[in-house]
Amino acid sequence: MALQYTEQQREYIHLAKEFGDRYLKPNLIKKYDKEGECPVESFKPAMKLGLHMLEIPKEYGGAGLSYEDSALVFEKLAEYDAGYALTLITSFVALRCVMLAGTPEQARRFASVVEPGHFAAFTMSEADAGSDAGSVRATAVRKGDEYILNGGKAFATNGGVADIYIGIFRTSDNGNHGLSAFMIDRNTPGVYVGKHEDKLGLRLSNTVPLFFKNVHVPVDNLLGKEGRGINIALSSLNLSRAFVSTLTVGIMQRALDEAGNYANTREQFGRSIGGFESVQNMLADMATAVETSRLLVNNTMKMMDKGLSVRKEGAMTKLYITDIAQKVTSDAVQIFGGYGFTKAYPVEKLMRDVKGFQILEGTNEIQRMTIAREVEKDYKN
Amino acid sequence: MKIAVIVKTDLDDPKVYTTHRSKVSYHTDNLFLSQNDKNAIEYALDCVKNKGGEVDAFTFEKGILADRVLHEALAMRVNTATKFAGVDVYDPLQTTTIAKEFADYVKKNGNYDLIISGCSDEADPIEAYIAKDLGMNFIDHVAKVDKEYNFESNLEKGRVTGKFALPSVLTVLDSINTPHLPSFIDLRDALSAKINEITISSNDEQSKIVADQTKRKQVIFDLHQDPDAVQKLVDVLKEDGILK
Repeated sequence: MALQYTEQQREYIHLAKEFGDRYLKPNLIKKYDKEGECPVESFKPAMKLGLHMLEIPKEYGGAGLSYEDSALVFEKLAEYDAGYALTLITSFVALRCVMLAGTPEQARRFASVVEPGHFAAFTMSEADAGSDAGSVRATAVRKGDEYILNGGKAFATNGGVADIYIGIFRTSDNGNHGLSAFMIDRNTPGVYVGKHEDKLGLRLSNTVPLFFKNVHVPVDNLLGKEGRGINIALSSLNLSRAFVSTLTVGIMQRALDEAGNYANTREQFGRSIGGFESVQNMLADMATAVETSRLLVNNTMKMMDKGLSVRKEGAMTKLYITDIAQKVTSDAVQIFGGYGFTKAYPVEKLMRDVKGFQILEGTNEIQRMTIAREVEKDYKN
Repeated sequence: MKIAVIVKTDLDDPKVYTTHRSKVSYHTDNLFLSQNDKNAIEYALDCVKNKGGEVDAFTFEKGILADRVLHEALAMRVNTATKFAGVDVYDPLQTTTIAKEFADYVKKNGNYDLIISGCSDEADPIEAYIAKDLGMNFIDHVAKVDKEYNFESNLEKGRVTGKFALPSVLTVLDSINTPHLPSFIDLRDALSAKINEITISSNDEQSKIVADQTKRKQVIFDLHQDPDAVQKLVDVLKEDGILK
């Protein structure tokens, strides 16, 4: 393997593998994928291991692992199911946002909800505000010592299972700079959860619309200052983008393992299909994609651990890996032939899951825009 | 109550790394704390949870593997971890030396009520030598056991049931319980925890493993055409030591 693990990382990955082998068995994953519902009860063992707080510092009840080590753990979990891993990541990314943008007291309050074994969610997108975050229309109006929230949100990951949200609302008509971030208790009167989206892939991940009707939140729930919402959203995206990349690597590794094993067992024309040059070429390209992607994610995570800005690198990582994963998973289906096109084998699910990552956490078109802007700055100076 | 657990490595994924699939690879990357040893640790922790006491983990593994299995044992919350360094537990010429050194250590540091380990594939387990040196009962292949020391042990064509008295030495199978998975916090703490080391030396020369390099010319046994094909196949298999 191109990426050389430390002994510590090897142990973390091994524990993740033991967890997956015990709790994420293939027949269970297949059942949940078919049902398309987030299996909330199945996350209890994960929370007992601390997987929902892996990267969060010890003082907030987390394991305090580095981004680099956390990424390797989640890559391994994604080999079992990326939707399951995404649910856990979404929780601690939301908490990490509060830690970065909020006060220590706010972070402690947020952590006290998540740590015992509950989910968190981050919600910004709306029906008419996807890539164009500046079009967010849900409002937060200050009245005395509270804000009143109104509006609808779309595609909230974990929205239906979370006990606490971070939501981006408009506090003034100032484009992107009129957005603010709030912590919202799910049980606050006026918060409604819509119907779970019946998605193509990542079907174990809960995705719902949310509705806020005269939701009163105290002023203390404002993260940072008014107008800082877009910055908080971008911080969240930086993190979640990097972790989405690591999940994609896990999917690709699984696709490679499945295809490699199948190619050595399936025989046609008197020999295993793994002996045919066309299949060998596909496997070679798949293996190269997996290794390069893993190294790219690892480098981005190391930069994040050092506190460096990863606006360009994170975007490049997400763009490259999620695009190439389309080819890797499609080739896996191709190697399986007719059987790959059926639900009897797991590769079709991998192809479905990967598609979501080209869209989530900023579409790949937006990633290209981000990279282009950064590259332009490099050459202008 | 004092319990000693002797831990060792095993292949990470037996489904992948098997001789059948010609992928046997005892590379350190593939070796972790054996499943049966985890069951042993879980039983030990259960005993001290009810009766009070401590669980100490020991290993005779070498180098990085010794640290690895002890870290995993510490993550499961054993109290102490000690490695016996300087010998090769997989060398049959050193088994008695290691067993004696361990027995001497036990006698010097306060006797254990129970010494327990996971079953291995070894025909001549070191635990039997340890039991002999300490004058303890040795019960092998324990498939069921409870907190009152009632046990059931598997034989090839049956089973032994009984109740052992303390002190005893046991080897256990993975059917005795389901070991808990440590949390990542426990694993993180275990990775930086102290591991004690005891160096021992053996006067025996180290034995060597020599791979059989002889290659046989390809032989086809045509069962349809040759009436003696079956006998020829049997003769070759006897010659290769596969049939006795």
